[in-house]
Amino acid sequence: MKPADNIHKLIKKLQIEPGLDMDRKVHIRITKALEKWKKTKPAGSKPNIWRTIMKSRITKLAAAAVIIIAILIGINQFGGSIGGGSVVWADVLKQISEFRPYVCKMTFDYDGDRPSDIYTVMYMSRSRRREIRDEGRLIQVFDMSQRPVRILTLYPEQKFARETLLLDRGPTKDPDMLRIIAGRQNGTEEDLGLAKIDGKTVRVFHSPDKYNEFTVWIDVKTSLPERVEIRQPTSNRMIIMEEFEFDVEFDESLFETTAPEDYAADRVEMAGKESLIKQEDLAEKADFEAYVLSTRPTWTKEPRVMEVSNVMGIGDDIYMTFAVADDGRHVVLMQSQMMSKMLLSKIRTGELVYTSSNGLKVYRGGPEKWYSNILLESVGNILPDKPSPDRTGCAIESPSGAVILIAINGPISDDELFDAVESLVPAKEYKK
Amino acid sequence: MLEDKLIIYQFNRGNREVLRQVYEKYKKDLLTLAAVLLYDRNAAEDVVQDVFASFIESAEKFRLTGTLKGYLAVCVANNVRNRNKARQRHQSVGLDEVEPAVSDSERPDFSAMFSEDLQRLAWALTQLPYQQREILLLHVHTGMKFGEIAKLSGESINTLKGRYRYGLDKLRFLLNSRVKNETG
Repeated sequence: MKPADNIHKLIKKLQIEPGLDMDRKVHIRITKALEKWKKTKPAGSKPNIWRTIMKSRITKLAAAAVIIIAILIGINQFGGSIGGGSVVWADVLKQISEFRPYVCKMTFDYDGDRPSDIYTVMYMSRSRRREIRDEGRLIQVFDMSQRPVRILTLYPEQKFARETLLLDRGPTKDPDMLRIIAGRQNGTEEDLGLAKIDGKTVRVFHSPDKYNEFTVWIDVKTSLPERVEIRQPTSNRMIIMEEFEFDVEFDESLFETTAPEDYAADRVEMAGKESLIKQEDLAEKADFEAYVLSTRPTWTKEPRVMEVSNVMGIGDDIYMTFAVADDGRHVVLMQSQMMSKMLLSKIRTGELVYTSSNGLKVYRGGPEKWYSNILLESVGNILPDKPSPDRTGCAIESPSGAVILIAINGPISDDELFDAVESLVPAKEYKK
Repeated sequence: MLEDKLIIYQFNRGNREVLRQVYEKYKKDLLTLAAVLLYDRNAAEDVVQDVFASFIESAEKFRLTGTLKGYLAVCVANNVRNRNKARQRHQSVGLDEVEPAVSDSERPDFSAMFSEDLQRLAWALTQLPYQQREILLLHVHTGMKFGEIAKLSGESINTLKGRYRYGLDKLRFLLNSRVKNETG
């Protein structure tokens, strides 16, 4: 082969290793710059505003909590059962009917193009668990052992924490799939014989069921599950539990529901019924210049607005406009007077990518993945999908300085975004 | 690119140590780029140091619009251009739009920098006009898209693509000719 045929490969192979002297000089320069910055910045400078959006907010939301996901969803549909009939199965039931702390990997595999949801879950007890998602970028700790139920959501890379209290929930227990499996007995299970998983000999049991078709792989030595698959045709998904470790001695600190000291944190308290209003009501409700979508985005249903009121009497109201999309690209907008004051100077540090015909400025280049996750989770009890890995967002400044944050639960073209922005009009000018 | 945004985000939030991370991550690529543009290792090291010094100074005001690697690579290329222009002024030679390729008398010693199989390529690159060499390295070695290069350099995409095509054609010709000569 002639050298010219793989020129690109050759060019990429060009590499020169820097000398120690160069490394030393650059690192000295960095050290000097760091020292200079320390001197010019006051101690305890306020954290970047992107780390806090709300303080002491209370939301009126439906009892189905924002963050708690019924793993939980579809649990009530469980039907069918796995019966006894073999010594091994009886041993399994004996092993898992009493709770033992464990950790496993959970996968929700969806039919079609929807990406899988994969996370690690640690069960300290049936009321306390810890979920680690997105390679550790999102951690949630649930404590349902008392009232109120407490949920701690951590974003380690941004050092931001949200404490959520469900004022009218708890104490309660997580249904926990293993206990559900243990509770099923009617002799309809099929013994599919022996198999191997990672070198371990397992016995495979299968229970046909219209709503929840179980397959469990049981370690013949310990009688404990090695793998569990639950096919839920009505939800178009398969739930897989694997990489089990039982009788784990967890550190208690893993299940703390108080924000770490070095994190910026806010707290959300939830109780009562949801407070949904129409866009046309926003003009009367909002005591600031709120905006509405005068035409719905072409890929979504009609927008609605969730009113987030602070019943503690502190601060002001937040309005979450949301529009559900059949393709999963749900749209969420967040507006509040307090947020506008806090974020205005910050959003202007992003890149101005578009100015609409009515003067709305669209900024991108901030931590969109992070705040779009928060926006989408804040209406998570209404949206049918969790925040998608390819979600996106932008920040908008109105001519009068009001700020609107937008999250879209999937990729969006520039035209789609700009059309949506063009449709934003002041609520006071909106007539249905 | 998300990693770049996180680095900048962390930096803006007070974690200035990420600058070291940035240097360690990109130093090899930037030094290679500078060295092949300048064909002088010592000068290349000076360029990379200057680029990082400027980046550190302006880091607080920095706003990422493309990739961090791309931004730093274009800074290296601009620094090299400025050095070349300054050198030409000192030599009292009229500035050309297209800077000349390396003459035989200036041929650098690549044996100290590259392995044998890459020395041929490095030699062939020195035979290209500077701007063709630059676009080939930015696009192929650094991995930048033409759009990003155009945005950072202020030149049109078509101009850049044209230079790239001519540069690649000439490189192919040079490498094939050299192979023929060596094999007789």
